[in-house]
Amino acid sequence: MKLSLDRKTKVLLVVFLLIYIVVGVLNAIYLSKQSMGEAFKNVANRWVVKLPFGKGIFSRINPLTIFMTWAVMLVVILIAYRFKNPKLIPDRKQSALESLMEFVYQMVEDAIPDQRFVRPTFYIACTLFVFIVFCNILGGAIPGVSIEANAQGNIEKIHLFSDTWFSPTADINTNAFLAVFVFLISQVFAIKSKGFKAWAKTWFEPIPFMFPMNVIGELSKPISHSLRLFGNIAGGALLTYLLAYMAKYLFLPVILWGFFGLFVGVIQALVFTVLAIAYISSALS
Amino acid sequence: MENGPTLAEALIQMGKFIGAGICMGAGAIGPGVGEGHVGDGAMQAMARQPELIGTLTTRMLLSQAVCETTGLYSLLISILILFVL
Amino acid sequence: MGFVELNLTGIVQLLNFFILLFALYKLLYKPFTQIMDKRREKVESELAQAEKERKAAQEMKKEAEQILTNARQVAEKIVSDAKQRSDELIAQAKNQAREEADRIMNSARAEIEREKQQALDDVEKKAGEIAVTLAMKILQGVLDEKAKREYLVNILKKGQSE
Repeated sequence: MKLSLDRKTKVLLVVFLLIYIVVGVLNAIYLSKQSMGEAFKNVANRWVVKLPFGKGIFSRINPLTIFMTWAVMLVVILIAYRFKNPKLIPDRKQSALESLMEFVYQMVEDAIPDQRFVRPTFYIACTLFVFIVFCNILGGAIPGVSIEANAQGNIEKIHLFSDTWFSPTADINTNAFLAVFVFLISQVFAIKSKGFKAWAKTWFEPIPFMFPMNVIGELSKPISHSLRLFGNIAGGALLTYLLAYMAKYLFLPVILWGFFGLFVGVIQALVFTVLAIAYISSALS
Repeated sequence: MENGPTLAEALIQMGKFIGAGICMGAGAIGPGVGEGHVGDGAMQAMARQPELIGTLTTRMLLSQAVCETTGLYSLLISILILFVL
Repeated sequence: MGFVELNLTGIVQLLNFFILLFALYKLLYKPFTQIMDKRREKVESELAQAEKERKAAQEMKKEAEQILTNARQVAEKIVSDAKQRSDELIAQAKNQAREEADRIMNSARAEIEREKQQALDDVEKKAGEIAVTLAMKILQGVLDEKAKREYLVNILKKGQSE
């Protein structure tokens, strides 16, 4: 692979690397003094803000997840905006994007039996894939700002480059609601495709006695779907944090681990997408 | 003894550590065996049809990632035991 | 329970996802699917064009082959004609030559005959002259009548038998 960067990008990269090294050394000097218990005390806490309106859990929100999601959305939309007017004869970047979309489209086309739902499923699957890939790579491979919160959800400390960025997919909310969305959309497609009666009949197959089994089987899909991604990314983030702590917050091990994070992130995004397609197609068939 | 943890707290702590260790260790067996099986099948298929290596590798990684889920559940439970509960 | 807490964030995330879906649909999927359809159409039309051209080429090839076979037939005919003609010519020439040879032979034979005749005539004439001179000599000599006649007759007989 040959990278061709212009001067501006090179300067930016060098400046970023310098800042990164300086902060890494500072982290190594100051942060590595804390004990392991101190460092891992707040690792399972999230920054939670209590909103003035609403009640119970509906008044609580994780701002970091939402900010990171907006950042990812911004990056994705900017990239998409660059290819707003695709050319008939593609250049290299466009053909890379096209081959990605072609890949997803091929998977969808092979899996979905009903021709009417190929395009909508493709939109959902491709968006899922792109969003989750960016989130996972951000959370698995790129060092950034991390916010430490206490058990009540208030900010305790803000660290720079001691951990990777917080990935939106390391928050169970994102994964759970995406998985539920996939589940609901598969049922909606099934109703649209077969009609309500035939769809309702599929719950009582092969015999009416199996209805609870079918319900449990269907409901376990979004749970396993969401927890798989959550476990991978959250566990990976935790391991990265552990590794960063053990390397005294120096930069190199995190970069090396980053390749693993990249790999796992892409694979898990692919798994999430493929399973979403499989659930939709199994609901349709 | 006045400032240290009580016996009950120490027992709870001990139970957490033992539980987390057993959870992670036992939970890693299943995915390990399962991924081994997947890799075995993929290798045999690759040896039989070397022209399909690209597709087989993708599928193998996919199914291994799915197999790994149960291990990740145990990892989650361990994290929950250690840090949250 | 910050780690696995479900709260309002999920709904906001879902809304974010819908926004992203909509934006990507507007920016990426719609133009790309359009351009892919266009490309497919173009490829299909070009394939059809190529098929048409291939058919035309095949027809032309068939035509050319037809022409070639025709030409080959014509050439064969010409060659066979020429061969026949040459055979005829050769036969004619042979006949002519034979005739000529016959003619020459005949004329030569006739010539020989004539020469022979002439020679015989000459011989006869000469013999006559010789006989006359001999007779004259003999008559002038000492030989008597009888002897002269016998001699003459002998000579004549000799000359006849030659």
